[in-house]
Amino acid sequence: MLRPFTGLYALRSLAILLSLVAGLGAFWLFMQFGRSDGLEALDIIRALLILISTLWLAWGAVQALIGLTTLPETPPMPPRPEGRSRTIILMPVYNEDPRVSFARLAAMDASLKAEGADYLHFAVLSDTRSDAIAAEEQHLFARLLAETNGAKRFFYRRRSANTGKKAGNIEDFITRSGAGYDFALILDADSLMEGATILEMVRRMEAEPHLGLLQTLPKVIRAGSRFGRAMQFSASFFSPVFARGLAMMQGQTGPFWGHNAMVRTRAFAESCGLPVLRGAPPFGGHIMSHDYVEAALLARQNWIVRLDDDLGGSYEEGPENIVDHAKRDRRWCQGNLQHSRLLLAPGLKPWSRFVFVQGIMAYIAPLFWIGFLTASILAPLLADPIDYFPEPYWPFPYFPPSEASKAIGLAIGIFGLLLLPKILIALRAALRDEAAPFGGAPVAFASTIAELLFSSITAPILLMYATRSVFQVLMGRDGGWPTNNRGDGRLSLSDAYAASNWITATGLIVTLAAYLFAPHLIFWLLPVGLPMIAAPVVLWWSSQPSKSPLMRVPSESHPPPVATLHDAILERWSVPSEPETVAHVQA
Amino acid sequence: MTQPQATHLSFDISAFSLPDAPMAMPQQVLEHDQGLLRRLMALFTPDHTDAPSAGARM
Repeated sequence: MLRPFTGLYALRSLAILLSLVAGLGAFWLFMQFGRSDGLEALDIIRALLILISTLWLAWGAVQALIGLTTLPETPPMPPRPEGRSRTIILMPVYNEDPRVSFARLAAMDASLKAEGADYLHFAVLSDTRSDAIAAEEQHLFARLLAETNGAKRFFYRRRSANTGKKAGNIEDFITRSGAGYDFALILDADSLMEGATILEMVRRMEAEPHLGLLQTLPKVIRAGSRFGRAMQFSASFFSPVFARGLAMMQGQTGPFWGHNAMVRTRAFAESCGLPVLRGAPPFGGHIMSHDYVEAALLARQNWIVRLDDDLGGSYEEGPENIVDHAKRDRRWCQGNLQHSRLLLAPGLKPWSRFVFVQGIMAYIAPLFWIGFLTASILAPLLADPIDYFPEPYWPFPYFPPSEASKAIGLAIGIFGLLLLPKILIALRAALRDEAAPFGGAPVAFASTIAELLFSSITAPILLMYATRSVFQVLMGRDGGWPTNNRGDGRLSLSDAYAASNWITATGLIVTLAAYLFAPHLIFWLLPVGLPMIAAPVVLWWSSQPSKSPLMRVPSESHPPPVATLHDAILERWSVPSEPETVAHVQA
Repeated sequence: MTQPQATHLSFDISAFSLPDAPMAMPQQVLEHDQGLLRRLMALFTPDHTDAPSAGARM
């Protein structure tokens, strides 16, 4: 008889094997290319850098290919649970706009009531430092209570010190009130979830008593800028397939992305008390990217952590410009690199350790590409001159065989790994008639091409920001906990220039160096160098509102009901509340 | 983000504080007491105890 997880291990092994084959294939091709004019130490270094980079790219591509082979399924749920367990919805806030955040809670409450569920509790867990914003929070909480008839169901507390940031905020809730609830739905300030989805999550938690955490796949909504809409399209069209691949390989050690996920409070309490790591930030101190660690700790205690990608009705908002994206990424970069301290933590499941490695790789992979490009520019300077007369006393020159075809093959292979998954996802959507919500098959396909072009322009800039983040962390600079900017995110040209002039300068130096030292590489480097030189314009242009018919997503043509509810509440709340309303609440 | 509005409420927010239902959340162990090298050395000591530090040997 087969062991229950034999298939899972086989799938993981296959994915790792395919990635290794791609990486080693790239290594071999580059070694052939390097050997043609005599193998130098720099050739071996470049081949190793290509191996690691290709391995990482192939891992992403394999994940997509696995995702393409299956469709999301509802997990089996023997006798239908009622979904009446004691559940609380937690919204941690930190200097956010309370009007927008609290209106989300009101919308989710209305959505739950529409499903007949008026018994779920809500808590605003405020870590807001600004007294003015805190006063506004309390003012609006009164209105929230009045409008939802939420006394005894809606709670608000503000911590005097935000120890441990978001993880500490949740921990404070659990230690103070966790015993009052079976499940807690953890949100971000920009999260929105349909009532039906929340209730389905409660039922799934009830159906599987070993399920410690249930993660949904939140879709980005309400993007308005070119950058935001490209991210939104990518999250809506491509991410579900990548997430499916991840879900296929996760087994019982799935991911936690920090929000839009439900936890079993008992499991969370007994497993996820995070220690303060020895030493100072960025590698020591409080754990920054706590979600991955909490998922690993739940799995360590044999709780199931699961991503149910079949669940819809889970939404979030994303950054509207590259600068905000880079700021968020700086925080994530520090958090993921800090996980290097936990790779050998006692008792973790091997897959949890592998997830940490993946997170670290996501941030250091650009360094390998930059190392490869730098080494390629420097190679002609350091190479020995070709000896056309290797045989003494032989009058005829010897021309080494050209291995350019191998280099071209390698380049095609690498571009294939980058482009193929997205092209295949578009083709599958067309073949399965799933492209209609994205504007139909031709529009979805054109959007895919546009997204590929857009991401190839923005990738070198994002790569530079990621590289800077990694160096900052390695040099011991703590990025802190900046507030997320939420809003239309439009950048002026001068703001864009201020945020990216160092990228322009780097792009100019790289392109000039290539022109001087490796002119044969200049056309290969221009796709990287030109976007870097034009970074301020790219930042400014991509932050402007998008009116393109491309990159359509279902939520634009058919806004989610909970988002419509949120819009209506927000509009109503733009009018100041009546003093009587507050008096009513106090009574 | 909208600017916070001045408020003159006498609203007592403590009346809506979280329910009192404490639950223990023990701190988890994520770091070994000894470094990797010391733990590897311990594999070769007779009773698998941690290898003594240079300071202890002195």
